[in-house]
Amino acid sequence: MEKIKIQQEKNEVLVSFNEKFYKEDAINQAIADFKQACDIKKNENGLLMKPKGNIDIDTLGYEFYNYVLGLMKNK
Amino acid sequence: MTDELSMQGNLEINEKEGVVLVSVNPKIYPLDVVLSSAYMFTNNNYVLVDGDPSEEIIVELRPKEKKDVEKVGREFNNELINYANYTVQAIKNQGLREAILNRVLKTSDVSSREEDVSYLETEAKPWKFDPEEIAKPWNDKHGEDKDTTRKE
Repeated sequence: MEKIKIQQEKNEVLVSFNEKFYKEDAINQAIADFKQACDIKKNENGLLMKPKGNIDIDTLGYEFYNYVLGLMKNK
Repeated sequence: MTDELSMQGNLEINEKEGVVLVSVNPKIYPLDVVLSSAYMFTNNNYVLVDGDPSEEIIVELRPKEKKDVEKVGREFNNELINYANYTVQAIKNQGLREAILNRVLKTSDVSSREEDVSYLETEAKPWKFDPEEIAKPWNDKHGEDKDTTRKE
């Protein structure tokens, strides 16, 4: 169960979701909300996140996961 | 299974990584209950949900600060029971809640007050039958001229 792959040398995080649990509209909303903090590209493997400023790359993907869960719960 | 991994009931504990995987049976705990419990843990943990919603739900809990991960997993089990109980009680009380809400909405509706008007009118009318003269003011019955008990 490796949903978050941290690529330290590239300063990138690859995040993938189990779509049976995480709704696409919540993920899209989270992408829009995280745009200020990082560049996010969608590809066939998931989301490629690249932090813009002084953001901890080790926790970025996990924070994103928590945020999506919060959006789903509060809808 | 390596030395870092240990199984405790439905918990798979990885002390080295500081992570615990909680296996949840969706036939016992519905997905809503699992997601609500998981959300409660997002304050102090990083939470990932994976697996199959019809077979086995796996919740990964990774404390944000160093903590006993087994304890975190066990607290999650407690939270599942807490939310499951809340959901059952909410279903049980649904009829009662609806009845209370209907009653509140009904009493705030002006047209429904008509049945109470007759009661209010009878209360507001002066009493016709008053042999003890309860409705009569005290001064009329025991005014200065009539009060003989308090003379000094």
